[in-house]
Amino acid sequence: MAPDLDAFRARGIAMLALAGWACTLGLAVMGFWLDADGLVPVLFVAALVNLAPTLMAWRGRHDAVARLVTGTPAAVYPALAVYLLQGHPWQMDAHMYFFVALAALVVLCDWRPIALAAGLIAVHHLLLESTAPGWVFTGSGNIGRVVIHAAAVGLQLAVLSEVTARLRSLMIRQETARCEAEALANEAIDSRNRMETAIAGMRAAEVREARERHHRQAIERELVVRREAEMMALAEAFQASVADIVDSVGSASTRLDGSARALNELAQAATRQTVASAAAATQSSESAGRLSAQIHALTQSVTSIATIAEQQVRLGTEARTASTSSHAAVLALVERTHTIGNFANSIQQIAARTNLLALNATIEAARAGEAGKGFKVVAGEVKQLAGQATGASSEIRELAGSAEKGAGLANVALGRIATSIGQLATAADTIQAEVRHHHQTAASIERIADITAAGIDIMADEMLGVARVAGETAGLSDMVARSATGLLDTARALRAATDRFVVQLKAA
Amino acid sequence: MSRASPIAASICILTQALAVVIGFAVLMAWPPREGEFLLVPIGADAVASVLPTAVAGRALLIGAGPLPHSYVVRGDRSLLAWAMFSHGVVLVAASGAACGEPVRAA
Repeated sequence: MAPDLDAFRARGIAMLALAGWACTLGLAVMGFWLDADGLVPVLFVAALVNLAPTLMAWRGRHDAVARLVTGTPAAVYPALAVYLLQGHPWQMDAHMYFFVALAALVVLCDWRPIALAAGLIAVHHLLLESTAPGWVFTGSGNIGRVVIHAAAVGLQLAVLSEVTARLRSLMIRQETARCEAEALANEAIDSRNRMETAIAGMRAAEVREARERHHRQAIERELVVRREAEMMALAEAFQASVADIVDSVGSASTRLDGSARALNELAQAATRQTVASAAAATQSSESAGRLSAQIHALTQSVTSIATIAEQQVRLGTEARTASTSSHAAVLALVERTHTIGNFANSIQQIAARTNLLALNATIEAARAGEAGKGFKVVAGEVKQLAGQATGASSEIRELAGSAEKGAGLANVALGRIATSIGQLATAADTIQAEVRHHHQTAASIERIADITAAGIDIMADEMLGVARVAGETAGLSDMVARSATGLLDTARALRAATDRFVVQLKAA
Repeated sequence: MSRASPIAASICILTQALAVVIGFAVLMAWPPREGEFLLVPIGADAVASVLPTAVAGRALLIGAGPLPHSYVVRGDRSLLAWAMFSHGVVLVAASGAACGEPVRAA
């Protein structure tokens, strides 16, 4: 917690224990001096109540229990003095030592032992006031004085409690401050040690630096001599090297000038050719545009042909339908004609039978004689009608045969027409498919022509850019040629300056 | 320093308090040089010999004590103490409150 406070309390307990034995000795002296009657029990009690505090001090304890135990003799020793002074005029004066004893407990820095001792003082005064008042005050005591004394003890308890609390707080703060001061002192000592180490290191570094400086100066002098010799050799080598370089630069500049002029001519030629290519590309672009327009017109024409072919297919389909209907009608006509022929045969058979009946009737009328004359006339008429019917049916059969023959011819002709119409429809379908294919091909050619025209335009622009770059290249080649000429002059000047420098260096 | 357990701490404090109480009890029971004493016999022989011994010690019988077979006498401690102790009789101070006198009002 706080080592200083603990040590202070431990020392306080030890001091109070020693004070207890001193009080015991003092009580003994006082008892002998007064020839007191109860000296033996007083010394016994004094020793008894001081055993535990002595044991605590011996063990070095300073905890709350030790402090409470050590506080109890403060209520006993003054009481023993008062007891020894029974009947003596100074008995009342001995009560002041209660306050002294309570004040002595301040060294414990704890209000609780003071409160315990004050409580014991008050309790034993009240008890003795009721049981042995002569022990408390000379003569007859009274409770009022005891109460006044108890109040004084209580006030002292309050004051001492405040003092101990402040003393304890002060010691804790002092302990904290001391710890901080020690820490700061340790830091200062460390800093001083580090500074001393740094100073020693700095001095050693200065010594080393001086040695190094002398050594370096010697090396520098040696280097100066060596450098002068090397400088002369280097100057000569430099002169030779510069001469070689100047020669090389001169020849390189000459070649560079020639190359630049050739490059200029090439650039100009490239410019001309590129411009011509750009013009050709422009013409190609225009041609591609015209081709695209013509292909577009072709596409429209093919579209018209496709429309017409579709109309032809539709008309062929309708003609095939009509031919099929005519063929059915002709077949029906042939069938009807055949039926008419059958009817004509039936009529002819009926006319033959009628003629036979008329013959029979004529025979029967002949047998009837006179009576059958009229009937014979009728039979003759019937026979005549039968002959006419036979003739008419023959004509009908001939007409029906002629009609059937004509229908058969018409049927054959219609069959050939239907076949021709079917072939025509197939050809129209083929034409339509081909026209559609041609339409798609023409559209593709048109797109390709457009793309080609755009690509040719871009190529023409790029060719113009190339021509421009070629023109710039020609300009740059002129600059290079001029720079080569300047470089040659500079190389010559460098050679002259080098010669002068070497001459001056050798003279120095 | 390790803290004492609550039981050990209570024992220490109670022991010290008991020492204080015993001390005050001894002081209260300690017989005066001369005056009134309470004679308390310990054992049957002591009961039989308490009054003869007291008379032999020139003690003046005042009355019976608060304890069985005890007596309150007035006399000289130097004449009574050893004789009473040798006969098994305890000689203690006879305070008024301990001997049945009314307690003084506060």
